[in-house]
Amino acid sequence: MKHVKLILCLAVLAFCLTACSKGNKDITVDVDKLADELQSQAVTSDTLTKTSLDLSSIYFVNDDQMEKGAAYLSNASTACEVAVIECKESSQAEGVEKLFKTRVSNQSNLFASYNAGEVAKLDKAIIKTAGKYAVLCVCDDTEKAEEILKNYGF
Amino acid sequence: MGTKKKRKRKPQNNMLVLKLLVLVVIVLVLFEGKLIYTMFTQGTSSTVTVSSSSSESEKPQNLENEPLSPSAEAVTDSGNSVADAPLAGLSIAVSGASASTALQADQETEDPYRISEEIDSPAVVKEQETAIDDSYFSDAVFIGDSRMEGFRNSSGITQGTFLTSVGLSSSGMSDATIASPEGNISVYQGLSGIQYNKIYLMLGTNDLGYYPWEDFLPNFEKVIEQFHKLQPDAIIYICNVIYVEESKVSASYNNNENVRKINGYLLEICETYDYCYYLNLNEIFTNGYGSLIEDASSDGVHLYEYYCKQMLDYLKTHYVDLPASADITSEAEETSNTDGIETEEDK
Repeated sequence: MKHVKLILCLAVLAFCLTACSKGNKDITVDVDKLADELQSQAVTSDTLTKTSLDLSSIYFVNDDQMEKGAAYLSNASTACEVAVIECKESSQAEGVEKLFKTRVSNQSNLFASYNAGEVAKLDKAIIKTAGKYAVLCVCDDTEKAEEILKNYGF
Repeated sequence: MGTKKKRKRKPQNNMLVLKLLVLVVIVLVLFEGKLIYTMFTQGTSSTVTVSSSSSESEKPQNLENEPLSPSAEAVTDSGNSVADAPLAGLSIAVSGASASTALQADQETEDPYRISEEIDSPAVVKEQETAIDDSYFSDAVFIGDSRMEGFRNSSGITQGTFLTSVGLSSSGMSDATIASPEGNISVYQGLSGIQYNKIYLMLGTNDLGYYPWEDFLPNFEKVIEQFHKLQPDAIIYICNVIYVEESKVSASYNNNENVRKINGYLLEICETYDYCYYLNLNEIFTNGYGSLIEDASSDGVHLYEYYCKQMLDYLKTHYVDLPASADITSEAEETSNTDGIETEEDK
């Protein structure tokens, strides 16, 4: 009986640990669709443009780690931006998350002396990972962005 | 019985009235025909005259000796025709409208408040007949402030290296403001190591209101000289400072008078250094009165996507090619640039 209880406890513990680790979620996301939804519904103060540049030149993600990516950027009048990157492997999403954090930090420093009002948006920047995906969203309506991301499994 | 009587009498009455009317008409035509003819012709010709006079008032002097349009000729030819007169009047009205449009165009060109953006200087990059494609930018580095960053983000450009940061000014070239895979670096650091053939520089917006103004020129010259030292084979395209929409800008020094002042310095630099070329972007961004096109920007400074794309188109038709860099350019560039290449000798 004791063994059974122990096995059950271990099983529950293992289940909890797996459930808590969002990064290991096995989800499939339409990168372009998610990026578009975030920029069109959560960004209200600016009209972002889907960039045609290689995302590695903006976020410095290694090309050999990135499966696909989509980014909407501002004309620099605001700090708003949306980036969704699909990595080749789940383990690489964490690295992209760090790059996103660096990006937000840099932008905060620059906007602080240039357009301080935008720093508040950067302070509330959403950076999330799930499975092979990493998302950066600097926007006006963070609640809406969170809602969208939740629907996508983040 | 009563109805039968009415049926018999009514046609007789109608016939009588009809006969009387015909008689009256015949009498009138016979005795007053000339008068009626005169009434009609005078009435229609007066309509034409009114139309003509109203169009005459709008017609500019220089159009008087111009050959008549087919419609105007028809008016002259059929001026005495009663049937054609109303149409002729309409033709004149239309002709008057076109004259009015021509007048409006003339007024615009003669508007004393309009500011021409034409610059007569060999340092200004002229428009080429053949547009180059994005591959021209593969060996180019774009350096600049938020406006250049906006261009990167919104123009649709697919090639080129960008060393940009919001708030960058000519005095901030040594500051570590440029994000790179190795952390933040300065523009000078970004120019070290890799050799470029073209440098596109867009600075000055954050230097508006530079104090004291006299120091701006020597400081900017130092930047240019340092760029040339780091990239001796590169030509430097200096974009002039794009106008602002003053009503949307909060800082008072961000005004178009200062833009013109700073652009004067930038042109001077391009005329001094033979590797520098002046890109007169305000050719396409002026509203005609020395200000940014209305509603080209949400904040009066940063251009919307549409205008960033226009700027890219401008860069594709405004370029120079040097014999030194021609060897380095790819075959694709060479084939696309065979026509209308401006060389350094032309400067």
